[in-house]
Amino acid sequence: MAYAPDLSGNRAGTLMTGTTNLRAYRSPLSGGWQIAWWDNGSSGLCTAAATLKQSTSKVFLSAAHCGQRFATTGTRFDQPTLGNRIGAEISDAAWLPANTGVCQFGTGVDCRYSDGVIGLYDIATRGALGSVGKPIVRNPAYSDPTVVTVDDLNSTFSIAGTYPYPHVGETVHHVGRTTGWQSGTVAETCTDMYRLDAPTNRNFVLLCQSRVTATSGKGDSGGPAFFFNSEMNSVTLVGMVWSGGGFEIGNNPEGNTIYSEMWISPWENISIDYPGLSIQ
Amino acid sequence: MSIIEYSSMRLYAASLLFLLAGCNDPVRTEENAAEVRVDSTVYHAPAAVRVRARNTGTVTWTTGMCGLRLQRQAATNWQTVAVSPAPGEGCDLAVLYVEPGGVLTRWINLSPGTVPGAYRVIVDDIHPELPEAARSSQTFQVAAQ
Repeated sequence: MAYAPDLSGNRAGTLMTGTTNLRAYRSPLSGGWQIAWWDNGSSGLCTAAATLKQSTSKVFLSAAHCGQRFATTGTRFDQPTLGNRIGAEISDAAWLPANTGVCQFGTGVDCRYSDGVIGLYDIATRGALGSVGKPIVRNPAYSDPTVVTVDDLNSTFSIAGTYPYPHVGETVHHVGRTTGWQSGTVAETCTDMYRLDAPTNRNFVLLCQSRVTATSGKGDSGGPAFFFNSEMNSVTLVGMVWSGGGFEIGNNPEGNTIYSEMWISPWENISIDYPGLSIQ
Repeated sequence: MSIIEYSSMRLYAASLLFLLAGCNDPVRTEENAAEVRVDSTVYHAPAAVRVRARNTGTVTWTTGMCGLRLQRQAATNWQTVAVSPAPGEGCDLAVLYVEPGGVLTRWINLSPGTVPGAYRVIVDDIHPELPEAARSSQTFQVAAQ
């Protein structure tokens, strides 16, 4: 269940029947829905990008920092919250060693192509291939109570394909458990982003990332970034959300920080880190 | 009695009741307590400072992976000299929970040009309603080379 806007100013709103939301239980799981993670005593929330095929296995894509430690497998994933396990991390891309190949950022600074991570479903039927959640409102204000509301009868976009890199000026959309369905313009492409793996204090660089002027919020990490075809009600995956950008524009009613922009790992980079992914 | 006088009286009465109820510290409670520490009392720049924020309260923190400020003690106040992540670096968008007793570990770098003096680190991502002092590490020194 979710809540429709209440013009009386009551933030809780009025119960709206026939709807669900991106923070609720969802089975089989599509991209855009909330997932919970647990890793070595730490836990939190993120968003699933999509259910995909890798060889013959049904897997899900999300962000590697959802689980905190990069290049280390073992994070457990649940949906929508801990206590409802859906699977575990099976692949977290290895570092490209500093001062080798394209990774030339100084001694001790390793690289990766993406912030993606691959999880394997415990039960294959828990994941829905080829679909992304479809909120009822596009570009809502972050304080809008319907920000993550989804119509039960028209709850997903179909994934029509993938595209390697977005280009400056193109419109890119994303769906996440915090800010719902947002869109913006690609402002920057192929930027190398310095990062810090906080638990281990490892400095590294994410190679060739893209900046989009779309609102994002804490919890949206791992969500799908895509081109939208309104006539076909379909999307083309072009990447995965991992970072807020621009400036902080406030906190949503949950208290999560909201940013004016976002950074994505392009689909091609995800494919380099994880060869053999397909949408069907 | 004017509206302003009436409003002032109501505000005064409400404040008095609040104090009488023993709630004269409305923001810091057993629920939202935090203890922020750095590893050393003296650093030589450049250096990475590990910051550990322990949840000493009774409720789980819902926080994130950003929001550190390095402050230097000036003559009459604390001045922010660096933030992590730096502007333009972005912030990982995971929600992170820290349960009571749990520790949030972060790092902030002292750049080679860090001026010697007394410093502290503020963790902004936990209980923003708390005063800075309640989210601050102990004071440490950055020594001259």
